[in-house]
Amino acid sequence: MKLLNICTVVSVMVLLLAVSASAQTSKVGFVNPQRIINESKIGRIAQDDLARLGKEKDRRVRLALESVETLKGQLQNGGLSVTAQQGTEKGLRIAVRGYEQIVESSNLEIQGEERRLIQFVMRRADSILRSIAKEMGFTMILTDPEIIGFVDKSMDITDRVIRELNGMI
Amino acid sequence: MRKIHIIVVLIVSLLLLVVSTAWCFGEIRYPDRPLNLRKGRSATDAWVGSLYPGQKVRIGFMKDGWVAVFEPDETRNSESVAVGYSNVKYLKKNQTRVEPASWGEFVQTVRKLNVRSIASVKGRKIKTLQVMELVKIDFPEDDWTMVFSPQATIRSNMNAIGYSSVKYFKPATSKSLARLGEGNKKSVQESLSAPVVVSVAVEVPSGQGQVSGAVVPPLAPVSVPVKSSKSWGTVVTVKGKVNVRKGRTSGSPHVRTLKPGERVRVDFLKNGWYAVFKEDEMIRTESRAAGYALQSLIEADEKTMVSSVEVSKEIPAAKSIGGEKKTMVIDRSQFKDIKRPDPTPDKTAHGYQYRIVEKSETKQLGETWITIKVFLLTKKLPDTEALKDFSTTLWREHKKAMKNVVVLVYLPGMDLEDLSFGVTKFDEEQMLELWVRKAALFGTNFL
Repeated sequence: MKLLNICTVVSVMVLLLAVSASAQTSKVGFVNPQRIINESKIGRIAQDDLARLGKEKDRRVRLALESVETLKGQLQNGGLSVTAQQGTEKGLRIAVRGYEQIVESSNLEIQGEERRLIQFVMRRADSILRSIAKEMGFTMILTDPEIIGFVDKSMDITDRVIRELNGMI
Repeated sequence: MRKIHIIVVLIVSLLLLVVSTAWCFGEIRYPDRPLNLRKGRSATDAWVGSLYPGQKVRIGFMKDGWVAVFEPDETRNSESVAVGYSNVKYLKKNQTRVEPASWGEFVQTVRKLNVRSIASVKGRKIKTLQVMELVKIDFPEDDWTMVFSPQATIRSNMNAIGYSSVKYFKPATSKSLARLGEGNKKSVQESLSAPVVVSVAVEVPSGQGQVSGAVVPPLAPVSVPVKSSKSWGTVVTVKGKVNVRKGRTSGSPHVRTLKPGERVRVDFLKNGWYAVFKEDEMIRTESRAAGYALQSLIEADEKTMVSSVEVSKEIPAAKSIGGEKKTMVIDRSQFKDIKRPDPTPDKTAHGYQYRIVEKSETKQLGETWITIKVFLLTKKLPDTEALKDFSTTLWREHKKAMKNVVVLVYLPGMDLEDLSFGVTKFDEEQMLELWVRKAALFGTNFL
């Protein structure tokens, strides 16, 4: 019985040693992509680009809405012949469909462009990330703040990535 | 008596074999890319439809490297029921890439409806659809459309039952679709349980998808490079099989596979992909590359690398975090070298020298778009008016009836395979919108 107890204690100690050894060989870093987008110069430029696209889409949506309102106005004013009224009603249906399509496609395009711009910035950050990881001996860098419970400041390389990105403009 | 038993068993076995052969003729294959179906056994034959990567199909009747393609559940062993023909080399035994694409629309008839052999009332009557019968429609032609069985999985006009007038259909109800779903569940499950062998090259290039949460793969150990007789790139001896692709994405067409032991020269590392050259290639230009290979696969063999670039000497050795303060050196020359040289302009408009580097046609949200990628040689950033005038001129040259045009403008120093600077969209009659991405100028002299 005594021998069994000794064996158990030794096994647990060996296991603990092995775990601590493996923890030492694998270093994990962290970078916050959202901060890179929000705080780096290139990220802010990309955000301005997206805002400009939003404005351009707004302009198109307004134009489409104006043509719908104009046709509606014509129908409400009355005084149209039967043929003209039918033609205007048909035109209004087409204009409404066009307006809905523009709203839908604009939203889709803005979402798609946002993804493309984020990927563009992160691709530029990627080469810097790799250099820093190599220098600091990280074997893995996490990028999702949602899955991180705690991260030591020394492991968070976001500031350095932002600094280096800014230095390249 | 025993002999009779043996004979009976043999006959039954033979019968079973014949029956099973009749039910499962040919074999199941999966295209490794979007694949066109042709009317005959030649690439010049008429296009009849297409398959998406990883779509399950049955093939048979191979001749001259071309096979007849059938629905996966097809049991009629006859070429007359084939839905098209395709080159067998693109149809793999295992799924290597799966990108399902939906097609057609599920509809129901509002009355008894004839399906005809041609898109006209003069066509021969092939079948009569019952009231509320569920079918799939696609390939519309004026007021007519091709009618398919609701179980049809392959988009090919050779797979259609015939033509019907589109005005007698209405969208399928969710109830009837649910009924169809129950019937199809089995085949979907079969399709999902099919063996999926993902090629090693199907990896997200580094830098992509990081925002949604991912990890950067472990870094390869730093090697000590040795001088080579050639003055550029890195010569690598490949240890495992490495896929070489046409572009820097795993979705790009496969060019060739490097065999273990093969020596190649690699350079122009970008987004986790190397450009791959012949070992004895003298000229360092990306256009001479055989294709692109994943950095992780190439660098798996880093210890056998022979390089002339002594980059690693400038990078400080890895130290622990708790140690003294370090200075990081990022070799910016690496970023300069990875760019493709700018194209040479061959035309002039509005005082700009330019070159159209690509023209393509795609469908987006039901509209046809002609995309024109153009390189503009300029030292000064063009303003909105200049871009508008220039793009309008290009649109006038290339516009077509019922098609929209988008002009993508690239400036010197920009990567022509990445985001463009200017985006100008036109419909058939006028300019719709104009927008510039200043972020795309990162790394150029304009930012």
